[in-house]
Amino acid sequence: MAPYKYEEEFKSKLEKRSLQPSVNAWEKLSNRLDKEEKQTSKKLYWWLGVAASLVGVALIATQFFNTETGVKIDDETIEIVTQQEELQLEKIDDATIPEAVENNDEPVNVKPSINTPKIKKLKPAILVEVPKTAIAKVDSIDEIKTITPIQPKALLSFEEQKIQTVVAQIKILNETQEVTEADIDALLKQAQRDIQLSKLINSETGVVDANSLLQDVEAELDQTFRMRVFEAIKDSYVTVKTAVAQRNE
Amino acid sequence: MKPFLKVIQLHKNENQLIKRAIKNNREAQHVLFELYAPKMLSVCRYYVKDLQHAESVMLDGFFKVFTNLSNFKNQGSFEGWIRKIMIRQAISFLRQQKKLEFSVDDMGIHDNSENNINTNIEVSQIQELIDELPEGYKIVFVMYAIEGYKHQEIAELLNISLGTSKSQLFKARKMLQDKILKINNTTSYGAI
Repeated sequence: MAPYKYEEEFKSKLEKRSLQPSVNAWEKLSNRLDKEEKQTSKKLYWWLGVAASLVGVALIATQFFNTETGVKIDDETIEIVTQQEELQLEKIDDATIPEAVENNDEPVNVKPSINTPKIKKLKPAILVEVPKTAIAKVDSIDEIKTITPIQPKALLSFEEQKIQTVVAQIKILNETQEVTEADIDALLKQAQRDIQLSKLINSETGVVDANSLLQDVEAELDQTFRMRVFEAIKDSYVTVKTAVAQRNE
Repeated sequence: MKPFLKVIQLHKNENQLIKRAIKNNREAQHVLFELYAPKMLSVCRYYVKDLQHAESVMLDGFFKVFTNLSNFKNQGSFEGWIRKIMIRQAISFLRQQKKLEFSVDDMGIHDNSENNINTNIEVSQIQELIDELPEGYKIVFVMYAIEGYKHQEIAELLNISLGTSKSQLFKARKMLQDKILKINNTTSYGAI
């Protein structure tokens, strides 16, 4: 439709018109724009905070995983140390027992392995546990002899004395009554305690060696575990032996 | 040559103002507001009867202008861009007031022979005549006759059909012609 004449007049006159806003119009608009700017910056800071938190979490996670690998390394080192401190089992003949006892760092655990319940002849294979250290590796009894302890002559003689005492006691018991396994164990344990005690306390100064005490405790823990293992193996062997014997009957 | 150079200078100045206003420079925004607010208030007044409400619509429009200034890509005039925002704001205001109603009747659309009416009406009277029209008639008439929108554009903006837009314009023209004739007759009788 074509514009009418009066419509063009309306348009022309209205286009020329301008109306002045109120005095505080700009102030209202300005305040509104300020508010909007603050909200926008708050949102920006919020997003920045979220981003910073994510970065922080990522850093902490990275640190955490790094320390975990560090722990693993420590475990490995601990394993290496325990291997070094592991006791080496040696079967030593009865005749060489006095010379077999060597090494002041670890206590000696002597456990007899007895074939018959009634003991007339004390000729078992006695297991002597000798600690394996990086410094002293014992292959034979002769080598044990050559290792020089801190107080060589006195300690050797004390231990030798103790062993001889135990042997004598067993012989006496054997003459008077039947010697049981438990009796022998008890005697050996007592002798062992005496030997350990002599090692811990320095006879000259009367002071207890803390390191020796600690090592003694640690060895005792190991020995307790080993004893349990040996006991379990022995019991199983006896059970199997009994079962086979009964079957054969 | 001098007026031409002045226009170029003004345009250059305006571009600088716009650039600063985009960076939320309040002074630049104030200058732009002072430059265009009077014109834009008049535009809003075409659609909104009450001047206070018209000013409120104008301020809403400028708020949108300054918060979306980065979207102005120098495509066309800056004034034309602001004007479009003002018209949309006015339509939105009328919708909120639930004043946008387009009556549908069986009135036929035909050419009106009274298209050569002479008027000597003051602008204030023109505004009064427009204000007396029903909202539907008024908005279509203003958008078509004053703003220069085509029926297709009006239909899209108001979400009405092409036929409704044409019928609304026809009705608006009919009413205005009757009123103008009355004014002319009154004037001529008065002159006697």
